[in-house]
Amino acid sequence: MRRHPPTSGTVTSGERDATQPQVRDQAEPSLSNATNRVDSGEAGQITLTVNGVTHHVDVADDTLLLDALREAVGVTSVREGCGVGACGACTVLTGGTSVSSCLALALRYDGAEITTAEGLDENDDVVSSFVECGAAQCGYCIPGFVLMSAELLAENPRPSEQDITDHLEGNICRCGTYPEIRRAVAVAAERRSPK
Amino acid sequence: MKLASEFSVPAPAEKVFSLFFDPDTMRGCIPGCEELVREDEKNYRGRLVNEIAHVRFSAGFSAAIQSISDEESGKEVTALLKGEDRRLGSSIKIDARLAVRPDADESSVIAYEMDMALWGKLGRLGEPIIRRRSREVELEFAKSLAAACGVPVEPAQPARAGAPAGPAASAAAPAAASPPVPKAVVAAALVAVLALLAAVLRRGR
Amino acid sequence: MREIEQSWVGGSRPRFDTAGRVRGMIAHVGDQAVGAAAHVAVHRATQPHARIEAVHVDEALAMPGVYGVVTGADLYKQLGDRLLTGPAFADQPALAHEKVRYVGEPVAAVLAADLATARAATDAIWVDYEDLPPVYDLADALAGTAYVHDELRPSSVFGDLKHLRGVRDTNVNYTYNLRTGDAEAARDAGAHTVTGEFWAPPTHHVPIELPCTIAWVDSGRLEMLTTTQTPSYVRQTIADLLDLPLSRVRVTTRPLGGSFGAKMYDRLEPLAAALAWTAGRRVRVTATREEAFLLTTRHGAAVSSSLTADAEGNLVSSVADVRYDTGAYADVGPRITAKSGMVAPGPYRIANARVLSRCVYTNKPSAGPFRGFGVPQVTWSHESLIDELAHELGEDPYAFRRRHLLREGDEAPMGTRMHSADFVGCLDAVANAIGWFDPLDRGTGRIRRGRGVAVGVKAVLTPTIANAVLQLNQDNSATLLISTVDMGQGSDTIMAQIAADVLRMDSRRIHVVRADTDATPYDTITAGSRSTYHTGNAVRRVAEAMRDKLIGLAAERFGVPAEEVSLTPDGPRAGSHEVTVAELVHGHFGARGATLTTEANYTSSWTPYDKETGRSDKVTEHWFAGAVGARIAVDTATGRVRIEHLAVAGDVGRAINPTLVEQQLSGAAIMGIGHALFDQLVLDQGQLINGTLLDYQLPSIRDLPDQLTPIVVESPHDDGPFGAKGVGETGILGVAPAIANAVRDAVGVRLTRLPLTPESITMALEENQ
Repeated sequence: MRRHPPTSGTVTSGERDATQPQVRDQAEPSLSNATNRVDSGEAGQITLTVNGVTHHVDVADDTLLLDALREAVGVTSVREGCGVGACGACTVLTGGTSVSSCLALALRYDGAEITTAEGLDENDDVVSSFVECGAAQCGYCIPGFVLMSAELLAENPRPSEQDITDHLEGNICRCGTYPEIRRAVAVAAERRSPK
Repeated sequence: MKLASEFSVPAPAEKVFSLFFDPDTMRGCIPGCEELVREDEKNYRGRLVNEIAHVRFSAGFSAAIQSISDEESGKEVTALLKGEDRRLGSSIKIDARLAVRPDADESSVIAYEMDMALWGKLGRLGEPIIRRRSREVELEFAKSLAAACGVPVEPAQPARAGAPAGPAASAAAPAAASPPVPKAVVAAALVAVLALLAAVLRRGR
Repeated sequence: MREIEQSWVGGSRPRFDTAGRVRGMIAHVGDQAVGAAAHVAVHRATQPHARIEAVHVDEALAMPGVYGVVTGADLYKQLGDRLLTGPAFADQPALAHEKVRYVGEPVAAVLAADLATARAATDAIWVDYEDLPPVYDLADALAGTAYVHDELRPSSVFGDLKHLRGVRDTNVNYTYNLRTGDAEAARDAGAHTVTGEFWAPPTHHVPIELPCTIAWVDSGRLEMLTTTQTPSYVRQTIADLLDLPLSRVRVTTRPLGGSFGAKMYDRLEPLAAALAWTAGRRVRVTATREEAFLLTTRHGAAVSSSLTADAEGNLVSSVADVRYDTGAYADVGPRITAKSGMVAPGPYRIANARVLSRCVYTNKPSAGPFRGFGVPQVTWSHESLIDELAHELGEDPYAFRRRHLLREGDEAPMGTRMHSADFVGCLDAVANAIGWFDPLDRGTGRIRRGRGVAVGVKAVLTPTIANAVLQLNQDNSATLLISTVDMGQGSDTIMAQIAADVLRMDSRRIHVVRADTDATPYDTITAGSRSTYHTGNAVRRVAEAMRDKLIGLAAERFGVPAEEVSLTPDGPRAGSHEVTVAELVHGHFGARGATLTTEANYTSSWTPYDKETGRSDKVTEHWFAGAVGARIAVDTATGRVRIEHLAVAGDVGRAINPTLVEQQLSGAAIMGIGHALFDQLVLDQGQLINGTLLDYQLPSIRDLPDQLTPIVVESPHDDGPFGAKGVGETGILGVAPAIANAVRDAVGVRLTRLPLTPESITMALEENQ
């Protein structure tokens, strides 16, 4: 399944080029990788509750949720892999629903409850089953898989192998950890709701 | 990428040709053609300007006529077209061959064949998009031309993209010794190619 | 097995920090805070081949937030010919100088307060070009009418390329010849010959982590943090570029989010170093996914080849003409051309072999190393040919291969003997796994089933150098300093296992330091599946030196000869004497937290191949042997291939960590499925047209075979650490031909061009009717 498209709002997706992230002006950026954009649109402050902690974040009208999370909030499990919503490395859960943060405008997520992989407990069924199944090689893409798996199990506690494939096919693991990932999701499902 | 097609204009060849002599008509048929200057017998320079989604662009281009053949059975021109849009970081180069031949029922057929190189941001659009867009523009141009002829008729179904152009193109004889300058044909060649160029550039934003 | 033993050699202990990887807590280069820095974006060429007449930068410079714009001419003014770098040929400038040679080549760099401003400013730069005739493909290049480079410029890295300096009027930058026996005569005299024109297209590595380099100047030193597999190489390159002693260059890394050959040699690093040094400020250079597609690619390769058997069905001749399209810059293409050309006949006993292997410049993005180092492209040809020859002779393709496979001690066509290369064991294992000897339901109607096998051979990169430094901490934990880069293959885990096994300690108490050329010692590169063997040997030796040191200290303390002391998981022992390592080291220094240090080196050697014959009695330190078996179903209506079972076997000598070895085999097989069925870079007159992940297809979980079986074959290497060899590339070598051979078996058509798209299969089926 493809992750949900970013929520609709006042800004249409056609008005910005998603391949050119444009982030401006955070007071104390943690990474300062793309900050203080000189020529930017109008700013606004939004509130993001990330993994249970509330952050007030200054964003421009074209700031991506990905950049707001990485640079202002400081969560680095959310990663850019393609910039076009095709690889899943930037996946976050907002209110439990998966979103490609590399396509999502931050302004539309004012007030959102966001979960990233860091926010899952190490004893979480999905996290622990991924660890036990060795479902990570370089691990770069794995947080995205973990969140997609968490979403799947919330919707469908006992997914078939086909269900797992259908839900995770929009995420790319270039190391090819798919067999272990598939096993990990099945183990997590069993752990969460034993037969 | 190779693009080839032909379309019919529901007017006799002579009438089409005479329209090609009229710069105002041609300008109306080429989307965004703001300037078209003949530098010498074989070289043209021009500019396409357009505004799409609030982005104004301006692309300079040049056209160099490579060969001309003007026979009763058909007329053919080959030209090398080059264009550049700095703001879009893109270049285009087209080897074009264009033929016009009389058709039945007082109509004529314009056939083109081009090998187009598209480099930079626009080049990344991919072949399917460019083929689709060029077909749209071709229809648009044929319609404008038909309207200019005073005959608002749907153009004929173009040949399959990628197929060789009509028989006129392949059968055309090489340029005769010192032919009369066939302005009409030159203009037609430019028109078809420029329409494509404009199409491609418009799709850029 | 005790838990501690599970952490030693042969144990499948979990990968270092799996929990951190799963929750995204491992910080990569792009996650590091950089503070105030100039963000860099690049203006790229819009011509495949042109002379630069002028670069107009005023408009960009005038934009608010732009610190500066740098062109190739600016850098050349400061650095001269040192601007041109590369591992085999010093032919690539960090920014195009005088000419551009591919669409997308960096022409000017903008330094700005933020990335968005830098990228916007690159759009305000324009360049006046004078067209040069483009060389779009191998045919253009070999026609010899236009040249990508005016003359060849071999780098100082490889002495054997010296004779090519200054050669003009050619696009062929390197030629490897193999002449064993008289292959043409044997072919002409042979009873059965099959021939083919094979093509493997350019592809891309697409590690999901994008490349990123941060460079700065500190106390007159150039320091950088970068996504590279080759920190020692980069350090040397930067020292040469800036004319600095090695001690004034520091290259540091973090774990990579995948690489597969993409992040090595000269990528973003020369540009970042040149900009930081000339501008005197911290710079951060990154690439979008679209830009990353242009940084390096896998060589597209054309192979025209034949294989001949005599009337008894014995192989007598192999002939191959191999052309690697290396794009605008040679990168390591000349090395690939030789190392892969020499195995173009395949892992078979063939008395007569002739290979002409050429590395060819074209006006395309440069091609460089990619998992397999050019070998999958020639495996595609030799494993298709031998399969077809078996069919022609009416022999079973498995048995036909098996009869001719090289055995222990056999000399390969290029003159080097086989050791620890169990081709037969690998082939048998995959054939058994996919049920080769069982009846097959071949299907009726549109679905038809078939089976195929393929064998691959690859030489390890030789000669190379590995060093290790070990610090044993007083609390019996240890810090291992090596310059091997963990990019997902698990080197941080298995190097600790090797050291821990020697020292009888828990490998989880050994930390492997991330490569930092100020601290970790020289290591040639992390590539070519060389680390387990080479760096693993250095690590084994450094641990043995530490063991000897501990035993010496214990002998002194116990008052016994060293021979009587043994090291156990509980500490040194000699009869009734016992002491823990912590007590021993504390007693030695009289301090908590003190460290004992040892160092070791491992260097492999080779005999350079003869220039005329391409032969050598030791062309490589060791061999990789692998095999793949595929059972597939073809939908004859749509041309779609469904892989029902893929088995992949590799001889790894000895598996240091069997689980990680299996992951390398299955991961390589999955990448190989992409190369077999859909992966390819599409270029149209020099323009890459599918360079985004919306357009470029990669294997997803949906592309998994119904069954995927990695098989570890262990034929220990006499000199490997605990008998081990590497495994990173073994699994990918034979995937595409095994699948194509299965398609041949299922529907009777032989495809010679990759990938095997549904269209190509249906077209072949139509032609076959």
